[in-house]
Amino acid sequence: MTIRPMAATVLLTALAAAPALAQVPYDRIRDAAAEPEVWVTYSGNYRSERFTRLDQINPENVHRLRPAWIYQTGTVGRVEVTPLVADGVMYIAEPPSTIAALDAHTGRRLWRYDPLIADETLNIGFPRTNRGVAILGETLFFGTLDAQLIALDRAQGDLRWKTPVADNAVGYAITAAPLAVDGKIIVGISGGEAGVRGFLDAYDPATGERLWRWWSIPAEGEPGNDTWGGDSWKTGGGATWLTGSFDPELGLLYWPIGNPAPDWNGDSRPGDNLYTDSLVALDVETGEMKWHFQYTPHDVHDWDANQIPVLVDAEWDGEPRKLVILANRNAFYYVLDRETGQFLRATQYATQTWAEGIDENGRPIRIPGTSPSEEGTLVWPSLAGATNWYSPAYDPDRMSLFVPTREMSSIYFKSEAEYVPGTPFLGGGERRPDAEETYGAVRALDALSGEMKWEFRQLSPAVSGVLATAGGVVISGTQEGNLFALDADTGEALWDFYVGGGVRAAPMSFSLDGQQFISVAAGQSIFTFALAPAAEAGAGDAP
Amino acid sequence: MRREPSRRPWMPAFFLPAAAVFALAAPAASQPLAEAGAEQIAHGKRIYEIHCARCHGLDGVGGEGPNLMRENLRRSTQDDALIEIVDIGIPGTDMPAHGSLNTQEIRNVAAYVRSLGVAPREDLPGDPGRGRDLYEMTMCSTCHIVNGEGIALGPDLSDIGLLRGSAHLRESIQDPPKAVNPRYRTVLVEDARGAIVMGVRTGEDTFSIQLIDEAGRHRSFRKSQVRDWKLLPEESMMMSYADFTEEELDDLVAYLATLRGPEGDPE
Repeated sequence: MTIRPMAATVLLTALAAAPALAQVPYDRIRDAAAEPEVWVTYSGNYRSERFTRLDQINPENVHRLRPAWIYQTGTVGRVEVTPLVADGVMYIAEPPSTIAALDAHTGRRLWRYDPLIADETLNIGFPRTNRGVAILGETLFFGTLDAQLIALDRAQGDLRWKTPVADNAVGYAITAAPLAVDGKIIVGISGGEAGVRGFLDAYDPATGERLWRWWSIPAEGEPGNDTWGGDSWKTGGGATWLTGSFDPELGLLYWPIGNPAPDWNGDSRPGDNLYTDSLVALDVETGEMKWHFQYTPHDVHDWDANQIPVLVDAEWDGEPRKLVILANRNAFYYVLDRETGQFLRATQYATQTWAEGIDENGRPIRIPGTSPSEEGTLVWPSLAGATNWYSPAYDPDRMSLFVPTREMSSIYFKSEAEYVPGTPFLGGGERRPDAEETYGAVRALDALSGEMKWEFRQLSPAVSGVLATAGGVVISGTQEGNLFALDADTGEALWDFYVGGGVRAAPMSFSLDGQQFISVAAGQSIFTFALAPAAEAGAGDAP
Repeated sequence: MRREPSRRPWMPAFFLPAAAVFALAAPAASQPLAEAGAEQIAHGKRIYEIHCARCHGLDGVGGEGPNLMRENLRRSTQDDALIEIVDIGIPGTDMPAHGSLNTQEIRNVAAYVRSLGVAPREDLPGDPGRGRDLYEMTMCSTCHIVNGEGIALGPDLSDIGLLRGSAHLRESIQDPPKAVNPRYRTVLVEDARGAIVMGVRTGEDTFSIQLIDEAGRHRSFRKSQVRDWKLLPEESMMMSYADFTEEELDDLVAYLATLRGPEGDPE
């Protein structure tokens, strides 16, 4: 059959006149919790809960979870993306900076956009990967390894615009998913190990015009610059390489800030080195900083604060309070007031040997002799920290934060550091102790007290993010390639599946036609799971 | 740091000071890495531990990055290629450029990496022929393969003479826990029916464990479906041959030191 010209005209006219059903306006992201069928921002919602209200999959039936489809990127390198799903289409990022749209029903690829990253593009201190896209209206936004921000039409992957964010030749890059808010695309950068000066940017989604820039290290004459020595602030790191959170009512962005540079030799940067290793609250309209809280002043272990800040509303001392919680790389779990930045509580959640505790202002009480040295200093946690960028999940019903945890130490070395643009600016290094028992765990922390409710131990330190579900299961993975489901109340393992490649990303969930799916990147592929019908699940399965 | 080749086809004769400096540095720069002195290698090792061990493992045993304890490194059979990789990394992969190392430091790291795959030839007191007889008499081949012969419970020893020095070989025989790769742990499993299975671990993740049992068979167990399982203490990892005489030990080590790959030793 051929479509006659007349009929084609009618079809096109009908398409043009149709309401923009396939749009993801700001309101839809803001209200993401009310529409669990889709996953329209990196951490699931602006509170960064990574919690789905879908409850079809539960402890009783999770053993019937089976692969629905598998998409192979065909690339080399790490796939570390959290997919987004809207209106039946999944959007993923493949290494190093390629974006693909998949049919969420089948995994079949609809289109792919490759910005052609040159081989000599620098990635100093992180893999050549991309952790996700943002969506707003009919447009997708993503950063590239060579530090551009690109906008694509989401129907066919056509280029809308691209804009340079920073200079890759000195080490800037983008691996984090941008955050789309009302009329702005918020973008953070990587490059702390190259001694860049960090910043956070906001761009106009329509034009790519930059609306504001907030520098993570204050310039001369600005408050906080006196926490650096000499010109060290110019090469001080403070990258913004993980997607932050947003409170629409307060109009505040909550962004975690990276480590100071050089990482392991702090001699050239005497002082606290603000705002490295901090959480900052920025006015979304202007980029002006409202408050900051520094977890690790004058860090010399590369314990950046690039972990997901989760926004929680709860009663604190009998009063309703707006909180922001974060399990930090430095082995302490923190509760802050997110209106003021006031420190409320810190609790140790993993083995550490560097601090006697946290004082009443939230400042660590350091144990002497724990800095890196020429001969090497053994300290817990390890360089990769007690946790890292891998997303935790927050279950608001149980008030539990499920934290991917690493039990491991490092021997930290210190050496000379000379800043040469576009090269690593480290001042030392790390190695593992010879014979050491390391392990990983998903730990369920009480959101208010930070006390551990349960842990599920893994063979190796965690590298995977976590998803929590209203059905009461918690999903995560291992570096050996296991994907597993735990009971959210007890931590008991209920299901596992070997995906054949390390799970170095965080799972997410969506639903289509009444069926709940769970997707995760692992190895070089995207795996999507759903419940098999009870009859097909096999007679050998537990009831 | 990317070095562009000089656009000048020739070095102007009047550019003497720089040429003189170059001449001073030349002997070291043209020296094959394999001929680096002990001091250079020791210096390289120290830098390696700081910058490289995180991915390539202490002593180059590998980890997230490839094992470097081989004579022929796939991407750098030539010294220049190895030096370049240490210097600028491997674009398009996770192998980064070095930190702020100077030229001599880069060379020393490369020399150390080169030394990992080629244990220095030592004058050993033992008799390799008698050592070989001893190897066969004491049933070493019931756990190890040499040039395709034997049973693969422990590591293949076909090129152990390249990978390890005599001190390490001696220690491995006398005191296995100190020297043996922890990968080769002995596992004891009590299966669902109560049968005891012992073997060498060949794989493990959070939910399952794989091993080669005493009959040389591959076995796989779900941890949740066995009655019990444990890794035996490293002391029991393998038989200790501490009752060898010194002379026998010398012979055995001398024999193992001759094992330098299936093609033997390109002298």
